[in-house]
Amino acid sequence: MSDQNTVIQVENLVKDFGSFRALDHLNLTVQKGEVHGFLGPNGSGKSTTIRILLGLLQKTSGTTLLFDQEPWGHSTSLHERLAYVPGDVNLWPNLSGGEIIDLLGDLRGGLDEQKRKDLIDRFNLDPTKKFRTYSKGNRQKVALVAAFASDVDLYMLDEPTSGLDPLMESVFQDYVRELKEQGKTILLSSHILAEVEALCDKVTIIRQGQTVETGSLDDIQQLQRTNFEIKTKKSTKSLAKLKGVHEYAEEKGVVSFEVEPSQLNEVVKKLSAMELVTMTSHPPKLEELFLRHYDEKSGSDE
Amino acid sequence: MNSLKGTWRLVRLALRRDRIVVPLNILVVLLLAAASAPALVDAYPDFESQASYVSTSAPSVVGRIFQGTVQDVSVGTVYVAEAFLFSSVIVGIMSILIVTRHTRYNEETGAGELIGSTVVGANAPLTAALIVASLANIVTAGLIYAVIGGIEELGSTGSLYFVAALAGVGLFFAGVAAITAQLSDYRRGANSMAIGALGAFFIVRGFGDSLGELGADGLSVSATWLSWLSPMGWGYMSYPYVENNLMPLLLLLGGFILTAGAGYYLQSKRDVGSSIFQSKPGPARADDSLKSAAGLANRLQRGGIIGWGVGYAVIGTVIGVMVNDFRETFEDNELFQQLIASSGGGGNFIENTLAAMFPLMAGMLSGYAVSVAGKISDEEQYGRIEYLMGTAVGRVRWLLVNIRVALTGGFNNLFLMGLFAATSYTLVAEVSEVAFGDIVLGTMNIVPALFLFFSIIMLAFALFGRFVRGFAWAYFAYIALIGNLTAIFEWPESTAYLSPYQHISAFPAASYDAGPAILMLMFTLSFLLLSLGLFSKRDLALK
Repeated sequence: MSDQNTVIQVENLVKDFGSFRALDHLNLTVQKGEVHGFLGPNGSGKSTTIRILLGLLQKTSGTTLLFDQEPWGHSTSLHERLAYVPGDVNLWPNLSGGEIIDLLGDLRGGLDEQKRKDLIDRFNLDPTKKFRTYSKGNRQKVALVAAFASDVDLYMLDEPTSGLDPLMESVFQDYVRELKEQGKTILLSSHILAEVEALCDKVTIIRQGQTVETGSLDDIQQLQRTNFEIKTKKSTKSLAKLKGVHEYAEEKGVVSFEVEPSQLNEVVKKLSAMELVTMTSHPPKLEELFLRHYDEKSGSDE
Repeated sequence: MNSLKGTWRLVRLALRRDRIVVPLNILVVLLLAAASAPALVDAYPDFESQASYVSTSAPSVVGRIFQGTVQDVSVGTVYVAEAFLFSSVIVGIMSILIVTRHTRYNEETGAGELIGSTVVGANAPLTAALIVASLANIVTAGLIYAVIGGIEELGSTGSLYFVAALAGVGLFFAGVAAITAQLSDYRRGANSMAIGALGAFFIVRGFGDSLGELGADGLSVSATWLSWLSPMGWGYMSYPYVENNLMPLLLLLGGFILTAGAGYYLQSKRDVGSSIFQSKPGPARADDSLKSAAGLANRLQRGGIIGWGVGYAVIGTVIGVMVNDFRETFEDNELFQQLIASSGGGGNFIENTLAAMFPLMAGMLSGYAVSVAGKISDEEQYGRIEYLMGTAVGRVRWLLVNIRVALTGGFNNLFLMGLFAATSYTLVAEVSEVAFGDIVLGTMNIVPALFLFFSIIMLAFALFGRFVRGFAWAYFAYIALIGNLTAIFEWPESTAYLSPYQHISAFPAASYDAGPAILMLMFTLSFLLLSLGLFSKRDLALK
């Protein structure tokens, strides 16, 4: 079984909706105090995983543990320890934002008055408006204020910032950092990769209900490589066969490739012999990794 | 005509979206207005029976409110009195719902904005909604005419005026909704205003008719000018089968054109998505009474419970006032005797009538159960339950508090109905033949039937989620109509077997028998427990 520090443990999780397999032996582990990015394209099963963890849906098979407990059937006691923000915030149209924040806080077991006030200020939210009159971004703010004003151990955020402007996005990031300092655990499903890079210690990338990549941003091998784009006078063909060189491609005279850290020195030596005309190099971005995972395989399964 | 570009495309979209709900609506009107005609022709075959009907309705306040101002002795008059007002209310509501659904609701969900960004003229959505509402009314009128047009006893010209008046009222309220859809930023708000207007027009005409002058022979009533302020009054005063008066029908058409025009005008004065009346801000903090699962359930159901409560109280009052009138009118009426007999009457006339009327009217008011259950299922359908279940509220507790609120509301409403019936009867009757308490107990006697009906809907909800709506409305239609229909058509009693309202003790006509109540409460309890169990086991329907 898991040790005490594991907040979320999902192993070989399968969920079928009729004949459609939404989750296909998915794995996800989140440790205490971690900000964990949960990535995947639309329809890959992120929300389904979160809903199974919340005990809203019943799994078909596999292991799911939340605070060392099976969520299905124990959701009430577990939910006192977590706050959840769904992607589509759809609440009671004729209650005001302030009423909804108080109600949800209370249903979770109380909210912190000082935090509530501070959050409403910083998110610049008018709590007297009826929910139906809020814009998408403001609806998300209502849900975020309700979640962040609760003092819980785990925050499950399912694409919480898709409607926020950059200013509010930075308020959101500040809050997540504060929570992290307090030792809280956060599962953040997001499509905003810059946000994930800025906030997350670890990421899990899923695709068609399967985990394709997981680990800390520093550990993920492909994220340690350096990207090169070069123009040379001499042929660069020999680079493609070098150990530690990946993703070699040539387009309109520009050659691009990635190099593992251990082979960096070796490759740079070879480059200088090829009479460089231009060279740019940059650390890889999560976005490139993400795109590669979905491009590579999208044709192959179906 | 650029502002109308895209109208036909939107009409087709609206027809596609309405392909189930509007035909169902039309079917209900058809059942009410058309199906009763042959039965009435049979029940009132001669001058004597017709005169007895007319002479009872004419002097009675309640008769005038619900049957209008009768004009002469003919089966046509009886038919109009029985069928027109109720049907006109339903076509009015149907028209209102069609118009707000395809205008304000689209804007509320954001679909209106998307539509507005395409090659669609500014007036196209409202025009499409009005066209669909007009089509629905024309089809309704056509279908009713197909049934009653051939009935010789009625006369085809009169029937033409009858269906035209009905469609005219429908059109008028489509126009009213075209206005209210501009006023509120919220479909429910627009619906409430338009249906409120319909209610007000109904009451105005009711006043106008009840203050009317009784003819010298006691067989006709002339309405006062107040009735001319109401579109229902106009429809009624085309006097189908008697005068076949065209002028009121033109008034309805003119009213439609004026109200629709006002709708277009108001629309041009506002932005897409906004409204003439801005919604008022709410409190910044929640009241303590809201801050629990039960508090939320109470808050969400409050409006519905109070609204239905008014209905229960009004119907209770009407029954209380009416039972005395009934004696003069119906003591010899065959149809009525059958109804009384079906409730197993063994008491005096008042007791028998109450024992027959209470379950009949309460069955029609059992739409309350459908409406509260619909609100419960909305929480799942619109995804709000996802957020609630993400808090420390468990499923069983959530459903349980909602059931409790619904049952408490139903109990209170039936109590109100009894209280108002008892009070009004005691005030009106010269010699009270039934004890005050017995009348109240007469409606409390119905509580187990309402609970059982509600528990069956909850079971369907636990099993099928959002599909509960269709089932619940169909079951409600069965309950609301079956009592009337079995009596009118002399169907075997077993056809009404599935209505809990058919199984209650015949109190106060007979002494109280707790057997049926205990049985029904036992069924209720098991169904509710079963639905709690099933609901906690099934996947929630989430988007």
